[in-house]
Amino acid sequence: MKSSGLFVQIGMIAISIGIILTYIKPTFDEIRLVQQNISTYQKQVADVSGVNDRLTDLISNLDLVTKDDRDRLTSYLPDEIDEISVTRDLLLITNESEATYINASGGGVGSPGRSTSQRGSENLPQAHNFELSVSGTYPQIKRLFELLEQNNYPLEVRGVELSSSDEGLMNVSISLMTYSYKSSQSVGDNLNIITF
Amino acid sequence: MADPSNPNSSFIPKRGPVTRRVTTASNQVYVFTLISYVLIFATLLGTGATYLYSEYVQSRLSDEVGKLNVAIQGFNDSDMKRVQDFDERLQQALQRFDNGVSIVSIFKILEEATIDTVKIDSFSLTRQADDKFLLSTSMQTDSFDSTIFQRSVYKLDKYEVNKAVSSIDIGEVSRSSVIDEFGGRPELVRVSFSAELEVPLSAVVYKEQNIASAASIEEMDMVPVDEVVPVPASSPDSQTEEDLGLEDVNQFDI
Repeated sequence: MKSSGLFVQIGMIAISIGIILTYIKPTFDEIRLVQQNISTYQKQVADVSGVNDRLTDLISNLDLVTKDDRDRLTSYLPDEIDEISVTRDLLLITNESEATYINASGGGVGSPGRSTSQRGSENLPQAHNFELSVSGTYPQIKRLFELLEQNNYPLEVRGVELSSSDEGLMNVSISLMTYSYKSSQSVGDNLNIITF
Repeated sequence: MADPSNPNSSFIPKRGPVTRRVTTASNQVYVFTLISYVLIFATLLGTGATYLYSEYVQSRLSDEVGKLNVAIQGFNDSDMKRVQDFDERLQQALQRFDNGVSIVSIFKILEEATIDTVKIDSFSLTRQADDKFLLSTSMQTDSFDSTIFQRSVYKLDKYEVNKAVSSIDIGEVSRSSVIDEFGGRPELVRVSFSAELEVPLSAVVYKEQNIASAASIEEMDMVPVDEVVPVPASSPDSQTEEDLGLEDVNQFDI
């Protein structure tokens, strides 16, 4: 009888070890994994909630910008450049300066170029080249440049060729550059913060 | 014959009236037995507890997944696109606005620093990205002295040109004269030279106050030349234009 009791005890220990190895330990490993996943999910939930809160704040701020200001921004950097409108504006500016309009053309896509400090930045608008030829007196030409600088969208002077003519007037050829908005990102790219 | 009345006459041995020794049963507990029982019960309890805890963490995971889905569904793509578009447009506009320059300022600087005996024949200006302007001018005057004087004026700290222009190079100086067809004497002497100037964009940044109104520009044109170009007393090249006997010449030949 004593020997059979011993076998029972050995059997119980063996069963215990078997249960530990085949169920408890794998279950613990699985629980550890699930807990890690819970932590990851909690972090992601916090991130997404943070993004949503931030987005709500930004939308609130955006709504505070007046329509006039938004219109001015859109005028300054429109989605597209209308070549005819710009050419017409150049004519009107030239007339305003009392210089003589000779010719205006352009609309081709250009490169704005970047200063040394801006290298690496890809957030650049789309540049468009225009050429303007006028003639006039020195005050008229200066007035023309002043009006170009005060325009409600950028008309950057990229080059000027100025020569005096025999009639006492100056012939000026101006290379101008204006800009349109260029989106560099899509929404899908920005949702990486909540994809995992 | 055995006497039945005598109990000692029987052949069967008799047990005396001896008290019986009471023996107690031994209840020894072996360590191995204890371990085995503890182990089996602990294992069974641990199995149950592990199962329950596993179910609990699974339900928590499901809760977190649900929360994340709710949070993701709360994200508005169109709002994000709207904000990003606005921000990017603003950044691009700001970037161009910050690099806005005033060409009128360049003219103003040149006006102030160009002596009135010098005439600008041609003027070329090229913008190098957002770094600087390269100015190339072809100038004409009536003597080498005026050329030297102009060079010294360009180098004076007193004038804006010295603060704005990072590099000045005057070269290609040549002299020509028109011969009087009757007397054969030189009638008009012309000295032409070219000037190459580099103007950093930071020196001519567009500011409201930098831009004079059209009226003030016209007034500026009428400022007497001797106020615009005072003659340095200490400079070895210093000679007034009167000393040089030069007549007024419009800088742009207008």
